[in-house]
Amino acid sequence: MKQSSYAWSRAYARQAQADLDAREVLLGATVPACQHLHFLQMACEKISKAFRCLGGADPETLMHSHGFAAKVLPQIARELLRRSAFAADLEVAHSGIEPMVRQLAREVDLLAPAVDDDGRRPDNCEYPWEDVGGALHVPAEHGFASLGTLHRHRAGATFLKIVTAAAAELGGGSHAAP
Amino acid sequence: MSDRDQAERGRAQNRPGQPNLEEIFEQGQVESHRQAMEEAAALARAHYEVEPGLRAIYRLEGPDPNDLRIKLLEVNEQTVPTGIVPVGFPPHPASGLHYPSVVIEVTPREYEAIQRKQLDLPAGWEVRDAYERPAGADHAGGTP
Repeated sequence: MKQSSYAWSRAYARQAQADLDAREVLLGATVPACQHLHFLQMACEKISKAFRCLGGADPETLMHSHGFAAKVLPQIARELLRRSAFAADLEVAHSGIEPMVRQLAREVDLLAPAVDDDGRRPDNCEYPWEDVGGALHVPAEHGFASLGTLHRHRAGATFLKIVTAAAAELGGGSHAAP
Repeated sequence: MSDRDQAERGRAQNRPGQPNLEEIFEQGQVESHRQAMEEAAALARAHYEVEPGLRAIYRLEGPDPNDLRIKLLEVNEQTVPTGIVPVGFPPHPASGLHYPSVVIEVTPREYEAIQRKQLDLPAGWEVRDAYERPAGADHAGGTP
């Protein structure tokens, strides 16, 4: 029996929550930035897929698509912003949140080896790559600029809060494995 | 006997003083549709107010008249060009949205491709009327 798009959406979101939990564990360990960023990238990808399932996309086809966080996460951020503004009975204010989320989500998309901006951004958090100068880079030895310390910056912390809220929105509360 | 014949017969069998269930059902549908349209307009207004890159928002209509999902096509000059990527959201009654919504965000160039039928919306979906930008809501300028 084919499961509903709601069931698939929830399934993607819950797996994203597990990825975010794994990221948290790795943040507290002595591991290279690429390891926790890998889980962040996977979480963002699955959250995007969860919301795309609700938009009518075929869940199984989605498994093989990459690089949509920059498209989807800003829209989720906007919806979360709309709700909180409404709940607080405030006017919806102009905000820099959506552009910031778009920019960081694009950087997160580029962490996937399959997304390289037509060869301009071969840096990724899984496989070694050779740059235009012929130098070989290892993800475990790469700093990933500000993404590597995302949680320490105000914009990064906001981004992570939105990602976590987005996963919880569709995944629900309790998700940890027994 | 056709569905229509059955409906007519059902009407004829209604006794004075008894509610006509079909009429009540139709009235409920009309009311739900009206509410969904109002909520769609409110959602579009909210989006204009927080997203300065939005150049236009259009209502989308699907082939199923019973599909009450709010469907918006948003032309955003700040979004990334990825083609047609419908993003769905569940209802959120606490903030005034009682129906699920689906947003398709495209760049101005992608919108032109939709108009030229070079980029396809989901099967049977059509672009309908545009939502007006609320006074005071910023935008980067130009018409789509």
